[in-house]
Amino acid sequence: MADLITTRQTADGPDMNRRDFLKKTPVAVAWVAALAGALSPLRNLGDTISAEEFLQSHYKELSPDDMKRVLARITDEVEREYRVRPHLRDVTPMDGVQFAMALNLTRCIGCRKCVHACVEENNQSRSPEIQYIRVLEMPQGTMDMERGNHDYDVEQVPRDGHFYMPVQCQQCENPPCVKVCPVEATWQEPDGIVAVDYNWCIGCRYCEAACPYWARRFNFSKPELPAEDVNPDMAYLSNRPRPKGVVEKCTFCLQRTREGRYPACLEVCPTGSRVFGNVLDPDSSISYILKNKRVFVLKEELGTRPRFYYFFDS
Amino acid sequence: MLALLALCFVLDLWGEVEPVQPGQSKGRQYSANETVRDPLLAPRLEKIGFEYGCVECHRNFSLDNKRRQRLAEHTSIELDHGANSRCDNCHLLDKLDVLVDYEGSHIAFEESEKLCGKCHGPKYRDWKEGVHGRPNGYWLASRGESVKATCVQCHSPHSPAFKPMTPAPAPDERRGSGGNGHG
Ligand code: HEC
Ligand code: HEC
Ligand code: HEC
Ligand code: HEC
Repeated sequence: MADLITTRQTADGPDMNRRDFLKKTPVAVAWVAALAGALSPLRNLGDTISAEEFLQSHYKELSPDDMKRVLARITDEVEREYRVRPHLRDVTPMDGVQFAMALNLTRCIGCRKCVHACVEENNQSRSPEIQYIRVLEMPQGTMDMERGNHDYDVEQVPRDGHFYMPVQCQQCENPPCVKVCPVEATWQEPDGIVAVDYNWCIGCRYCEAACPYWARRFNFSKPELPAEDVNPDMAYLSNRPRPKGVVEKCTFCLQRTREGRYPACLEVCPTGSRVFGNVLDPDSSISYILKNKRVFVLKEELGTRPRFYYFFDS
Repeated sequence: MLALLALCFVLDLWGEVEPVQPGQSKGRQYSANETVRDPLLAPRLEKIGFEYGCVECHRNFSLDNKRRQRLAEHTSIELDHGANSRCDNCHLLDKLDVLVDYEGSHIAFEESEKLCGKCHGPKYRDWKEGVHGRPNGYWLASRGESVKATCVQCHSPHSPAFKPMTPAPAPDERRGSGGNGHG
C-alpha cells in the first residue's frame, strides 16, 4: 500500500518548468480541470473510507483482536447506513470439510429462483443489479456454455428443446482468478471456497477477466441495497455490504454452510436440482452423487478443476 | 492553482454522475423456501367452510371404484399417473383415512412417501440418500436437522409429472448485471 502511494505522488508532481507553466494561465486552468476530473473518484473514497479502514491489514494478517475491532467497526457502519444491527462474524473453515456442489441438469427447469434467493441472502446490490448465478437456457444437444442464453423471457419454463444450466463460481481447485490477483485479495480457503477480502481488493478486475465461467462481478457504482431488504446474518468474507469498486462472487454462502446449513440456492430450488455437502465425508449426499452418477465439469480442458459438478439423471 | 483545484474538488465539478436510479425494495420473496405443493397431511377435507374427515362422508355409502369420472365429489381429481390408474391402488376404499400398504396394513397420510416408495423403489432410495427431492436446514447433522421435502410436496399423487412454472425475472440489462460479459 505504502509503495502505491509514493509512486502515485511522484507521477503526479512534475517539478520542472513550474514557473513557465504557471505563466500560461489557460493551460493551467485546463490542467487543473483535467486533474480534478481524474481525481474525482477519490472524493467518493473520502466519503466511505475511514483512516482505520484504510490502514487495515490483509485478512490473513489480522490478529484475533484486530478482527474483533474490524468486525465492530463494520457492524457500526452497517447499522448506521441500513438501520439494522447485523450479526456479523468471521466464519472460519471447519476441519475435515471440503465443499462441493452438484447440479442435476435433467431436473432443473430454469425457474431462476436460485438467482434471486442468492441475491437476497447475500446482500447483493439491487441497482445496479448484481447476480452471482446465471441460468443459461441451452439448446438441446450441446454442452457448450457459450451457446447458452441467460436472458430468456418466457411465460413458462421449461421450453421444449431446451435444458437449463445454472452457472456460478465453480470454486476451482486450480483457480485462474486467484493467480492473476496482483495483491492477493482473493485466495482459496482450506474448505475449497475461493474468498475475497473486499477491504483489500483494489478493483483491477483481472480476476473477472481470468474467470472462464464469468462468475465474478464488479461494483461499478455504489451498491444499492434497500434497508428493508438487508439480510443481517453476515460474514466478513461473504455477504456483508460491499463498497464500490470491488469484485465479488459466490462464496457457497459461507455464512451458512460453515455453520452446517445449506446454501440459499439449494434451499429455494423447487425441483431439488442441487446437492451440496462435504466430499471428505463418504456418507454425504454429495459423495453419493460423485460415486454413483456420471458427473462432469464445465470447460474441463482448461484444467481449472471445479468443485462444481453437473450430471444428467431423472 | 491548488486553491482552484480544491474548489473544483469541493464543488464536485467533475464528479461522477450517479449512473442509476435507486433500487426499489422488491421485498424478500425468494427467501421463502416453500415447495410447489401444499399437500394434504391429514385425511380431512374442507368444504363450504367446514372440515370433514374422509370417513365422515364415506361411511354413509360404499364405492366400487368403477367410476372413471367423478360427478358428485372430488371433481377436480383426474388421474394422470401412467398405468397407475385406479383410486384403490393408493386409497383403501373401505377405510379412506389411510393409504394402502401391502396385505391389509396401512400407511398414514403424513407418511405418503412410503406409498410412493412401494412402486418407485429407486427414487425412494435416492430420496432417502438426499439426492432426489430437496433437503432444508442443516447438511451437518451435529448442528441441526435436515428436513426432506416429501414426494407429494413436489408431485401431485394424482398427476405426478412436475408442472411447468413461470420463471422469476430475467437479469435487468439496463441495470447492468448480466449481459455485458461473454455468453
Ligand atoms: C363431503 C363428503 C366427502 C368427503 C369429505 C370426502 N369424500 Fe370422497 N367421495 C365422496 C363422494 C360423494 C364420492 C363419489 C363421487 C363420485 O363418484 O362422483 C367420493 C368418492 C371418493 C373416491 C373414489 C372411489 C371410487 O371407488 O370411485 C375416493 C378415492 C375418495 N372419495 C377419497 C376420499 C378421501 C381420501 C377423502 C378425505 C381426504 C374424501 N374422499 C373425503 C364424498 C366425500
Ligand atoms: C398414487 C396413489 C394415489 C392414487 C392412484 C389416488 N390417490 Fe388420492 N391421494 C393420494 C395421496 C398420497 C393423497 C394425500 C396427499 C395429497 O393430497 O397431496 C391423496 C389425496 C386424495 C384426496 C384428498 C385431497 C384432494 O386432492 O382432494 C382425495 C379426495 C383423493 N385423494 C381422491 C382420489 C381419487 C378419487 C382417486 C381415483 C380417481 C385417487 N385419489 C387416486 C394418493 C393417490
Ligand atoms: C401402485 C404403484 C404406484 C404408486 C403407489 C405410485 N406410483 Fe408413481 N407411477 C406409477 C406408474 C406405473 C407410473 C408410470 C410409469 C411410466 O409410465 O413409465 C408412475 C409415474 C410416476 C411419475 C412420473 C410421471 C411422469 O409423467 O413423468 C412420478 C413423478 C410419480 N409416479 C410419482 C409418484 C408419487 C409422488 C407417488 C406417491 C404419492 C407415486 N408415484 C405412487 C406407479 C405408482
Ligand atoms: C423437491 C421436489 C421433489 C421431491 C421432494 C421429489 N421429487 Fe420426484 N421429481 C422432481 C422433479 C423436478 C422431477 C423431474 C421432472 C419430472 O420428470 O416430472 C422428478 C421426477 C420424478 C420421477 C420421474 C422420473 C422419470 O424417470 O421421469 C419419479 C418417479 C419421482 N420423481 C418420484 C418421486 C418420489 C417417489 C419422491 C419421494 C420419495 C419424489 N419424487 C420426491 C421433484 C421432486
